[in-house]
Amino acid sequence: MIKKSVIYSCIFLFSCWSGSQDPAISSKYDFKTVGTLEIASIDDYPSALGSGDMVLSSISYNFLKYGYNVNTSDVNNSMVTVGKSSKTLLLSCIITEFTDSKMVVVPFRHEDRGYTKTVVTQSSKDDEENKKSESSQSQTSTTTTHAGKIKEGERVTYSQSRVGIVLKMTDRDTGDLVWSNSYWYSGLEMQRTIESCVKTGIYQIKKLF
Amino acid sequence: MRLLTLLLSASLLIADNSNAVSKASAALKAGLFKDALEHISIAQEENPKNADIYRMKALLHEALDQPKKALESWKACLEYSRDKNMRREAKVHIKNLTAE
Repeated sequence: MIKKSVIYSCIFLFSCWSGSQDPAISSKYDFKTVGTLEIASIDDYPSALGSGDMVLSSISYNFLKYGYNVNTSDVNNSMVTVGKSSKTLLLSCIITEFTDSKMVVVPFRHEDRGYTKTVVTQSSKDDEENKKSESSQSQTSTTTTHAGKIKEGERVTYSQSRVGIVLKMTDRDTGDLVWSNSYWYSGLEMQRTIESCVKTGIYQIKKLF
Repeated sequence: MRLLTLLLSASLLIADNSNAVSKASAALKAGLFKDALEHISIAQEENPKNADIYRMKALLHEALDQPKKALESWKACLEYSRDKNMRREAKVHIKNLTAE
């Protein structure tokens, strides 16, 4: 029993580590038998005080947004009603990245494409010496090409936030890991970045029930 | 005379773009995303294939809750970028914006 759990856990962890966008799901587990999803409290990311609560609030918000009943009467864990069955899954989240000050520099270049100048001089005069009515014409053309240049130096600097999480669901009774995936997102504002990062995960969980 | 006019126009154009970049930078620092986006669009005229600019525009559109425009910018970013990380970031955002 323990060996099986270890093997399943290894498979899930490898799936997350390999950067897969699709979640690792236990094919044997019947998600229709789940009635409640218990959201465990989330530890803060080191050096980011309050980050755990921010992500937890966002998870609850997203479940509520998708129409689920969310109960927050328990101080430690929030409960989400996903069905009428009896089984409970524990949803835990680990914050893997929480950066609010990644500086990004965007260089702008100004291109002087240069130009080509062509001067055409045309003249005509009568040939009086030969007393002929014929006229002679001369035409000179001078072309000057000025090379362009690329001027680089102007740049826009902005700070970017980035959030990364790992979501896991384990069966409350057996302790089996039944679902797992990792997510990350970037943005200009921390709150919106958290929302977008969490949204994708909750959307994938929603499809299970 | 024509040459002088040409040079003057070119210098004015460069000055305009340079000014737009400075204004965009200041607006971003102040958190005025809408203003920043306007100035960046002006400055972008000379850099139509710069993936970094499309990335910045996409993030601004997302911050302004304009998902369709953000999606367009991320797609352009993906098209012009040769940077592996930037391409991955664009793909993550495109997937997120097209979900649901």
